[in-house]
Amino acid sequence: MTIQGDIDQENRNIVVENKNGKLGQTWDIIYADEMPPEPKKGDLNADWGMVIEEPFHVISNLPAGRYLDLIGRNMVIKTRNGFSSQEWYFHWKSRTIRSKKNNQSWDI
Amino acid sequence: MQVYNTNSGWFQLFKWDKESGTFVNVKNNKVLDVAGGRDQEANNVQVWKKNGSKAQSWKLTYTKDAAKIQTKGLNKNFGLDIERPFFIVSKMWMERTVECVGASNLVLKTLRKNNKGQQFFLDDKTQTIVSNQWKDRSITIQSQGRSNNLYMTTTNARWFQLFRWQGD
Repeated sequence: MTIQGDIDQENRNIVVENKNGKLGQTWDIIYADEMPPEPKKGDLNADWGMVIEEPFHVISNLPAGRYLDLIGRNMVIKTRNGFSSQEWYFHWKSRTIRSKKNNQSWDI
Repeated sequence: MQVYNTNSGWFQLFKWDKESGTFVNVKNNKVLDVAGGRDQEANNVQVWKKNGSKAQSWKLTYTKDAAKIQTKGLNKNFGLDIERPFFIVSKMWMERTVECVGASNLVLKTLRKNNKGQQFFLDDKTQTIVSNQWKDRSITIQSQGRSNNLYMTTTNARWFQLFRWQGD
């Protein structure tokens, strides 16, 4: 059983393919009565290293200690200013880090 | 790096590694990085192959635990008392002051103590120098050609609005 193209995407087809050892062919079986509850706001998620939906700053360790910020949609470092563009949170459902300013996610 | 509508593609998935102080992409293992290692105002942030440099090293501080932004007293970084109106007085013979005229221009004028257009203060949130008359406007460098004219414009806290008072 394989995720088609090994692409972790909503609505992606499931197919059968020759075994290749890739992540797209590896699965867990979790019995429904053992399925842990969905983590909730305020829980620390050890796998992703962040507390769910708890706003945070990202501060550079370069000498000036500037804060991760937004100019338009670009991510930059700036002096701390108290604006929501310098606040971020971990969104559990999407597993992305989002801006408090516009709720958009970090994107390469 | 940018922000974009959420789609949870691999290019949007980053884990926080507290030990190394890095944000790591789940697929290519590249990390959040200050472009060129340049510690400059408004410099871009990108992803780059992990190299252990300070440009890739971050602190994650939850807002509720962050030290409050100082709201009164002397701001040591900027050399001015926070939210305390001041005049900017020339040391030339007439001791004229800087005045914000028409919410935009900065000119030299005779001191009038009751004129709020001649008063400025260090804003605690943005750390910019704001007009005491037009409180949404900060002193700004208007860089045009070879002149670096100063004027007042809407506060945006970018580098051309950040000034440190160094006194005598």
